[in-house]
Amino acid sequence: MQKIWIVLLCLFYGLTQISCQSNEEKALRDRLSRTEITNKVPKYLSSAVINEYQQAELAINRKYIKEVNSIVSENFEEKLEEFEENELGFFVGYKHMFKVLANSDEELADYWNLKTSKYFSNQSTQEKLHEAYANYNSDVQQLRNQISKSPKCKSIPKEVKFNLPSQEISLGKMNQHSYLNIAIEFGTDLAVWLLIMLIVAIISMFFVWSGPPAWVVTVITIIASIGLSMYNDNRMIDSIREQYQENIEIDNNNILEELDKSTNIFYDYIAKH
Amino acid sequence: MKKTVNYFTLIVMVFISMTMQSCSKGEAERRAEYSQIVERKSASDAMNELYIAADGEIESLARMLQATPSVINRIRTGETSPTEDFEEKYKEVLVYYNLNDRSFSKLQSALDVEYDWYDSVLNFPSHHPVLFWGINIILFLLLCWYLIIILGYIYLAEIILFAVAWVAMLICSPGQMEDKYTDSINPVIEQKL
Repeated sequence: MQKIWIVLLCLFYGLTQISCQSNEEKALRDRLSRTEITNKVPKYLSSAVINEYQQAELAINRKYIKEVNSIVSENFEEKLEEFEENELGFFVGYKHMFKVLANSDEELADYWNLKTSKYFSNQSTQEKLHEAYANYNSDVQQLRNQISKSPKCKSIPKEVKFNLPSQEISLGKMNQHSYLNIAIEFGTDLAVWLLIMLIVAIISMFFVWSGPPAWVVTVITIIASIGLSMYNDNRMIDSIREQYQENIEIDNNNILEELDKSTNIFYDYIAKH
Repeated sequence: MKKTVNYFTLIVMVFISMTMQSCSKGEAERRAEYSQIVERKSASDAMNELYIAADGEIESLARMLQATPSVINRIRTGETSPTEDFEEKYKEVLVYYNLNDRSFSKLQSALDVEYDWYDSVLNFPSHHPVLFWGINIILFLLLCWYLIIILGYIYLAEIILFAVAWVAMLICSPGQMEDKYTDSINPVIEQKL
């Protein structure tokens, strides 16, 4: 009886220690998250220091433009990847097979139009561009705040609204893709059995052979149907990729010129004051 | 097992195509009419209609529109107005919702990435009532008249499938959505009035 009490006491002590430790960790995390970065702004700045900061900001401008380029150029492939992940595959494949059989052509057209505007609109691209600008703005302001407390630190060119042309992507071929999946699901069984029967018939003309066991045929059927489904999915992806026209051109030079101009104006002002 | 599933699915699919192919009468007119009605709605009214349809599932609605709950709330209360592209997008979604028996789960099935296989299973009777009850009644009659015991196993499999789907739904419910725009507006899809 006494032993049980000792064990319970030890357990209780252990639990309190664990919870105390986690409280301490929590307090430490809170303290760290409250820490504010305060910069001491120097009173006198040499032209060399100003020049160094100016070069750093010009580098940030170039980094931002590079990021914009990469967002615009890689976005279609990302969208395609998202579409592939969500709309192609085993369970979704079955769902679409039911869909093409159960719905009329008009209903299917509505359905695929909805999917097109979900996966291939410019909304996500615009959001990424906005996020890139927000990061750029914050980086530049942090850099400027290290050497100045002037309100001019905030005078950064406004976000450029990129006029991205909408891509005319049609998912109409998804109907054909789903019908082909139905044919693969049911046709593969038949085709494999017929092929095996033919092979067995030919071989048994020369040797005594009753054919492979049924499970072997089933495995071959499953492998064949998976392979054909994957081939069908890849064909669908390629057909969407073919529709994409890489005609998005952004006037980066003008934007970079504007950013650099703003940077130079700010550092000229700092140098004079 | 796979073969049995395949043949059962084939029977189901043939049944679907037999029962459902004749449903598209007057659909084009209906779509045009609904599009006009939705087009005339104000931006906040259209969003409110989707909000009511979602019946509390605002995160699901946000996922479908690729927005966040706070953006949806601001637009529906008129605090901000949507950009032209975004308004066009959610009005298209609203037309689809109206055309599909005003069923939010059908909308989820089409657009929500978190709508999983178990949702498809659990919503199958409501999405395809003719098919579901038709097959079950035929199976029941065959079971009663010809005492085909194997049909009883199909019922059992059906019950097990629904139970598994229900448990999966409880376990795999989506986590809370990250909302980056609670303090500021998302200028890509909304603007200050």
